[in-house]
Amino acid sequence: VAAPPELARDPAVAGPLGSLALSVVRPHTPTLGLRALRWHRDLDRLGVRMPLAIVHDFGLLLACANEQLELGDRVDVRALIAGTRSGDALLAGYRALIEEVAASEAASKSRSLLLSDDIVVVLLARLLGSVAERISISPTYASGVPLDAALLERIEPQLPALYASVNRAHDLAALSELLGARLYVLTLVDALDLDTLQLFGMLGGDAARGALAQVDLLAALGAPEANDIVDFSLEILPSVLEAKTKPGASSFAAFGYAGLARKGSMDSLVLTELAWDSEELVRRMADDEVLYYSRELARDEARRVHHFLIDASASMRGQRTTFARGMALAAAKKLLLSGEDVTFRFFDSRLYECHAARGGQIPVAYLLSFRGERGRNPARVFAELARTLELGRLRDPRDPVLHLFTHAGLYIPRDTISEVTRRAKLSAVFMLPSGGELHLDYLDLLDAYWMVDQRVLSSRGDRAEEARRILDDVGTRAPDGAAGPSSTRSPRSARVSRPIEEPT
Amino acid sequence: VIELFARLSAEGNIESLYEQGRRLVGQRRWDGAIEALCTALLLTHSREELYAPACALLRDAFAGSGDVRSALSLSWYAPDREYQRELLPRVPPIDRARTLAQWASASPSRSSELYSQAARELEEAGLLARAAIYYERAEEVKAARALWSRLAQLLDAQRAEVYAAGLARFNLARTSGLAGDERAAREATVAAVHSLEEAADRFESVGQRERAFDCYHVLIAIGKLSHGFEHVLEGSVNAIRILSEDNLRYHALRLYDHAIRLAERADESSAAATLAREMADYARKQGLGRIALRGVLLQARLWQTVAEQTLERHGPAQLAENAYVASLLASAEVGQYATVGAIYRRLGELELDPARREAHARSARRYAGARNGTLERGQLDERLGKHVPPPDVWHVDLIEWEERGSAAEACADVVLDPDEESDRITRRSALVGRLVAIAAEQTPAARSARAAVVVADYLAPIGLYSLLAPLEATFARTEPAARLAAVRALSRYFYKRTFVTLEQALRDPDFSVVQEATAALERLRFDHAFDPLSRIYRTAPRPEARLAALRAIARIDVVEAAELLLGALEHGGPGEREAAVAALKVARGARFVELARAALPQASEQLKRSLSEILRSRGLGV
Repeated sequence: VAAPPELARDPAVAGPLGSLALSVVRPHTPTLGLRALRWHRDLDRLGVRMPLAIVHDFGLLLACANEQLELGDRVDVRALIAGTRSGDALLAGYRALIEEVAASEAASKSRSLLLSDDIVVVLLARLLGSVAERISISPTYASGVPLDAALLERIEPQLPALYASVNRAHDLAALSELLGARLYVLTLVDALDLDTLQLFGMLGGDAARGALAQVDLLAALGAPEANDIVDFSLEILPSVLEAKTKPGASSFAAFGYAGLARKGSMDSLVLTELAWDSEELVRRMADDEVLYYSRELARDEARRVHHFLIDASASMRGQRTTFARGMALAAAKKLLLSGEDVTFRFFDSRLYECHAARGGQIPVAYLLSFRGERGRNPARVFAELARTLELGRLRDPRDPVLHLFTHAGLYIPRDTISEVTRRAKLSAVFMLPSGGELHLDYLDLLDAYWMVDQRVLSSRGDRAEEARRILDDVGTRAPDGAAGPSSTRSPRSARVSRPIEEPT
Repeated sequence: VIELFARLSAEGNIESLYEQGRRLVGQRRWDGAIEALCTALLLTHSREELYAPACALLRDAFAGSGDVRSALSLSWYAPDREYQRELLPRVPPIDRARTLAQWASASPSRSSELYSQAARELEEAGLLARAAIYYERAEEVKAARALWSRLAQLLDAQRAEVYAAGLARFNLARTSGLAGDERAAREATVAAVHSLEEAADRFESVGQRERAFDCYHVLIAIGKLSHGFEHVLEGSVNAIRILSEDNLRYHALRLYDHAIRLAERADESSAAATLAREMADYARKQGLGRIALRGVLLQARLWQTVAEQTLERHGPAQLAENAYVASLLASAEVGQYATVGAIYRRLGELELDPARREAHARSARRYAGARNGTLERGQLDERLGKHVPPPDVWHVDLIEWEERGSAAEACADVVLDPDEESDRITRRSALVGRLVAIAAEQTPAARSARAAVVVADYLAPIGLYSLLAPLEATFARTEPAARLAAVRALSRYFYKRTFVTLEQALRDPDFSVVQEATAALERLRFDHAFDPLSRIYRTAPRPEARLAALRAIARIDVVEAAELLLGALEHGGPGEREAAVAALKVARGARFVELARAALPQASEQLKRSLSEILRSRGLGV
């Protein structure tokens, strides 16, 4: 018996498990069913209450490869709902809906993405959330199935009894609402933003952070503007992904040999040096002429930390947000690939907490879904930033580099900007000035700035090209060393996407 | 005279009081006449044909007694220019200027000249804000600009006046623009934005959201003036946020509607679409299904516009695709499946990669034959009404600042405000208030506290927002009697700003003031009072004040109030639980009942008992 009698008597177990009698997707292993229990539990936490059967079927279609499951009834459910006409119609309709979902491009694409449980939960919440809201009958049972695959192993014979053990009004009402919203659900399935999921794969998602990230991602999936951010990021990412950490050479015994050097330990001495007679060898050693094999540099901690300051005030509404966050995502990825450290901070009238990209993982969902829009107070925000930088200098030896993504109406007092630029390099990208021009009195204090206007954003090629050009600048300015100037540009070399008049 | 006003009461018959006054004026017995006629003026509900002659007679009595300011004030009620002209040389510049301004508004042909004359009077008296406003009305832009500049410099030096400084800078930006000096206008705009952003932030952090709302309103005006849509967005979105946090849902929805129109006009369809989406979500949360439906349809249309504009500009097809998808999702949400099918067909024609196009074409086939759900006329409720912006706060609030809590000036503003003419009773009450305030100003310093009490008592029934400042000034006095009178009056002012003073009164060293403030809390219960009341409940030092706040919250029918009460019932002390149960038993709101029923299954035994008791006493099933 899958569910022992003491559990089978508990409505919190029998309720959800018994609903599987309505399921029309059969997994080939019970562990897949276990995943469904997890999804069901997490959806409950997000406030989406749907019968386990529906969560199970939709989830498996989105998360599992075709060969791991098959479509078909788990038990003869018609007997359970007494063969009523409405019951028959419900079951037939539900089966047809599941077949349509299974055949959809979104489902087949998502199956190939090997989605984690957290992401499946978010997708299910997106698909089923509005249907769940419409169910007028509350469930008569709470959900409390232990996460144990044994409970699902060969459960089919037990399903009729489990199904009959609790009132199923909520389950049937859920099916009915689902069918009533059939076209809407299918529209949602078709519109599932799998590009966002792809972005997670490319940039390193933060879904593993649990419920908080689930909420962020759910918000991102529901926001049309997030799609634009994702598309824009994907548009410019291929060029970004070419960036690679360039190894340096050192004398430490790590990695492989990189070349020859005049300093090193005895174990890396070039053997032919021993061919010199002893007096000559001593002289060469004294004059640092002896050659050693040098080793690849074991990269120490990056010497810079890049802070991405992204404006989240209401002034950024619309396309400004798209471009700002998309650019921030791509630029951060580029810097990460170059071995730099990156953090993100949003601001409106407050400077929000810092989110670091850890282990190369960018908090994508957070970046896509963050909503500030509580006023605007750049004087306070940048004064706080200056203080934070000052404190950071005592604790962190790395040089801070600031990248600001904002709009053209961000009037920061000059004195405050001076305070900030005394402590860190600061570059800025100004999005879409609504008047078409940039009139800010602190531009000459910035190390570099760019203005992105409507013309650039609207045009197909220019947009990505412009973004890539800015990213290239960020890339060349970022690492000290081989490529490009090692420090930020002087104000005179500050570039804009198109000529603008000098600030007055 | 102040003692006379202290003992007057609104009793008697206006006709007989007028007759008595006329007789006494004829006998040049001014004091008696003033007493009779002031009593007549207290009968503010009287017919105009009786009230206006009583005013005119009282004017003569005051003039006869040598109180020219009061006489002139009475002449403003029913202006007689020749009579006023005689009094003008004997009154202070502000009263002269007010009279000239009244003439100017009545004589369009001489308006500029009269306003200019009034402005010069004020400028000489050092009343820069009002003088600048009158210069603006006289279309003397240079003079106005110079005064705004002087005022801005003056205010910049005072850290506490950052809001007023922002307003002055904005006025300087406006007038610089009118004078054609774009560079100065830009600099003043930047300075104004600095100050207003700081002020808004400060107001919000001390819980004065309604003052922050004014800052955002000015930011919208700055955006319109400087063609900077960033400022319009900033102002609109934050003003909407404040309105919705204050449960002023129809105001919030109207402002949403207005902001969407502004965004469309500025060619910011993408921003407009996100606003429409939020508007629909907000309306749905408030249970306003028809407005939510309208918002969703608006959103669908705006996303289509975004897509079409992108294509027209030869923008990226992906951007257009995203916008079309957002539009079809909105259409599907309200059952417009024929529209969804049409959008899918359009998507199938975009220059996307072939797989995407094929997918869209496949989706389009699913909707072949689908119909749009019927949207009946009643479902598309258009009765949201138009957004009415607040008055020009960049003038009004600077005048309030300049008047420094003078009751006489605040009442004069009401008497001379053409908008108040339609509300005769308020205007008459303000006229009496003005007379009392003038009498108070003439009272010797030793008895000024007593005078302040009398003024506060007269201001109490008026209840206009513009009279809050004089009452706040009265509360700032050192004499407990004056503070008590101010709090008593404020308990009839149903504004969030009232709570700023009440919160101070709850910490007053004089216990009678604290008691009065505590009693006031229970009277001031309106939806947008939830925020200050909940703050008082959380932070008031005295338990009786916290309980009074809790009782007031129980009468407010908003979700946040219901949640707070549920928390008090579950986690509060015995006193709080008792107060909440008693208040909820007699409350009428439905939100708490809904929440209580939802919470019952998981409630602790103690909470279950409280909730059952409340529901049963209201005749509702558990």
